[in-house]
Amino acid sequence: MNHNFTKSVWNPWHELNNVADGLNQLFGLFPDYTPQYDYPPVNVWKGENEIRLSVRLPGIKAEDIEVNINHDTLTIKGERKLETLPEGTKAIRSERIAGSFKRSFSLPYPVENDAVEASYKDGILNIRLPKAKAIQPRKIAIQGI
Amino acid sequence: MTEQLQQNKHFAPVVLSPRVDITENDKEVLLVADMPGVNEKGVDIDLERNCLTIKGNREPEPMEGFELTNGEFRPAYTYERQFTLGDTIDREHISASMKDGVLRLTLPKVPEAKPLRIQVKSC
Repeated sequence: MNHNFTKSVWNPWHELNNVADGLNQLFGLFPDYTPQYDYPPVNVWKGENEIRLSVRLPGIKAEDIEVNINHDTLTIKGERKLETLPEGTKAIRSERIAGSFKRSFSLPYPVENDAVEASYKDGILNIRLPKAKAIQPRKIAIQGI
Repeated sequence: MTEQLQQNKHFAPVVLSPRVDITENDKEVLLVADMPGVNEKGVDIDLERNCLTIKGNREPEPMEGFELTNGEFRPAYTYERQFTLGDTIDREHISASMKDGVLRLTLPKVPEAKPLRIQVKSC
């Protein structure tokens, strides 16, 4: 028998943590706490011959982000630094988080290393991972003799 | 993408509250809000009486032919948050800038008003 399960692509813990975040924000609790879940949040999009990752990473310098591919593992790491308060300035609210982060993903197929692109725009890091040419489907022309 | 939007309620746009830092010194109040995915065209700042509203709209990236296989944030969202301004803020000179998904609002303070003295004359 062939069951057709629709698997949810959403990680429910993230949604729950968002609720907790909202509550903390509402009551002003733990203004500088470190999140327990994975940071930064990543969306993985899968296409026929390419995988795209979008990473929500506001206010970071491009040179402070490092993307590495080692065989079948993609690693994103970096550090978010927030400006220090100048003399005579006091903080009224501090909700934004800072610090170093690291996340790894296993890739479902080998990627064409030279064709991988990463760009950072408006606080979103976009990574394009094309499937290795060697395993991409291709059409073979048949020659008549 | 459009089909997915209709099929999955998780693709529906949500309104998020941006995380903010507020600092203050003698001259100004600085409000910094994280709004990743929002550029300067997507920001809307409104001031009505003493109520300041910041809004940010994110244009989701076109993902035709792609399927979301691991989702940790919604592809479509807007940011919105309101703040109440004190009387010390100079409303005419509020300035804003947007870079790398971070909004910076500078709210200058009005120069300290001089105490007013009323002369009492005897009639």
